[in-house]
Amino acid sequence: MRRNIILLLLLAHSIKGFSQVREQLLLEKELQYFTTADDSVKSLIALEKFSLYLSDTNLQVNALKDLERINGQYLRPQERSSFYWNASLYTYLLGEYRKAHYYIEKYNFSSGDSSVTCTLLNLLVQAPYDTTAIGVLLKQAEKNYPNHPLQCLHCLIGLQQAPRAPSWPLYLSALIPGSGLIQQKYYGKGISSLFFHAATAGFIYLCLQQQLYINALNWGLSLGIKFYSGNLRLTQKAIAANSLNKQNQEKEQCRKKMQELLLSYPLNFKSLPH
Amino acid sequence: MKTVISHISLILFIVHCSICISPVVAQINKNFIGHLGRNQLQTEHQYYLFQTPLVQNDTLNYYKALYYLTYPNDSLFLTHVQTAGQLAFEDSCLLFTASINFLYNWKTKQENWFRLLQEKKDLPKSIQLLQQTFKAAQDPLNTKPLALPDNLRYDFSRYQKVCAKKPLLAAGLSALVPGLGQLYIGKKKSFVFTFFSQLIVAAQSYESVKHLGYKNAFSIINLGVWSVFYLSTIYGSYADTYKIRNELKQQYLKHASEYYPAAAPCTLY
Repeated sequence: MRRNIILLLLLAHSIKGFSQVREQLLLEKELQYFTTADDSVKSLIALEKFSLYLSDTNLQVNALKDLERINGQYLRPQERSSFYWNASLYTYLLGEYRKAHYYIEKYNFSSGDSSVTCTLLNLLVQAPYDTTAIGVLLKQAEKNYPNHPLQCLHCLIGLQQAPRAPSWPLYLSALIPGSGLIQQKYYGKGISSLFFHAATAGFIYLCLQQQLYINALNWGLSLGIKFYSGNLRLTQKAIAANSLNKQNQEKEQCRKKMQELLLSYPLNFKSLPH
Repeated sequence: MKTVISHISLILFIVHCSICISPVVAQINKNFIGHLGRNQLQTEHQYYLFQTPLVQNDTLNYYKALYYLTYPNDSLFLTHVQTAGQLAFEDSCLLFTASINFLYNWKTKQENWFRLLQEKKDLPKSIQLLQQTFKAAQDPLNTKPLALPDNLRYDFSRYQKVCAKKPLLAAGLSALVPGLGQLYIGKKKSFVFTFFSQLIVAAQSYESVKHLGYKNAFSIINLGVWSVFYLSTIYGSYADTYKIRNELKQQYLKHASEYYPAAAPCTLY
């Protein structure tokens, strides 16, 4: 019993010790970096630090600072292309698309890789902002791999374009309040909007009949304008929500296709030659 | 099975000993801390100060305070500054940067920090000026705008003017003439809007009472709307006095926290 307790205590302490090893190594490398004057050695130390971050299961934003300190010129060709690949994948996973784009361009230039995994990473990096580049990449992939499932990723182009929303339901709502909402399948809101407008008009008519001109003007202006502008705003929102919904469905389909491709061609970090 | 367990315990014992025995207390490498701070390497910086066996003294606490100034944490900063003692109060840049942070960003411990500064003598002029800026924000009516830098005088004068206005007087004026309280606290546009809105609502109430009589439901609704509107104008003037006071105070402090670092920049590392 006593033996088991001691064993457990030792185990707990050792686990704590192992978790601190990475931070300690990072600090030791940083001290080496600090004491070195040679730029090429500094680059290599920063690369070793980046490799330490890669070995961690969690992504660390701090790794970006070490990435920026690595000068690819000081690395050997094989080391360099592996580094650019890893840097691009890491920055992409961190959501730093501009940086990922920078590194993948460097990777393409230094490796001349045209494999499916490379095309996939290129597509993923370009997808958030460059639709033209996606088209070019898919055209190249068509040449290299005719009839490959990669072609189904043409959907990425459509996703970056702003959702097209029809404007005519808005005009319809401007003419007959609530009709635009009904057309957009918001039946409850459309009918209640129509009812409130009719009630306001009726109320103003009654006020005028009773010779309450100030009341007719004031209530008419305050309620009427509020209802009318609210009706237009609601219609606009309904149109936007419907078109966004449609785009989200397309996005989901595209995401599924991408997921299937990534299962067949997983993107992994490349090991750096020692 | 027993031999496997004994092997595991032996390995764990060696690991344990290596962790326990390895700490050899080292001196603080100031240049290296400067390098970590300048490059904003938070993980390494934290590990070096908090996990590495370093000599426990005022210097270490001073660097820990600097760490919490770089990676903001107001309460831990205050704790370490106090334990670092005189060393922290000799670094004018640390005092300056901390005072700027406490002036606008770190509001919860603001008073603790400036009270701590008040206890110290022979503080640099820049810090004394920041103390004065904070004191002016706390007690604007007993501060002369001329004591502050030119760039802050305009914001301070506006804040001081509003602080001199009395919320109850603003409410009373709004009760006499709807919206007059707004004019008193300096909101001219709000006065015009409130006054004419009240006039229109009063006119429509008068019209309905005249045509339908005061017992008619529509007249009662109109009178109800008017009285709610009238009372809310009175309360609005009262609450707005405090609201504007706070807004102008924040504006003055924000401007001060931007002005001083631009006028006399300093680097922590």
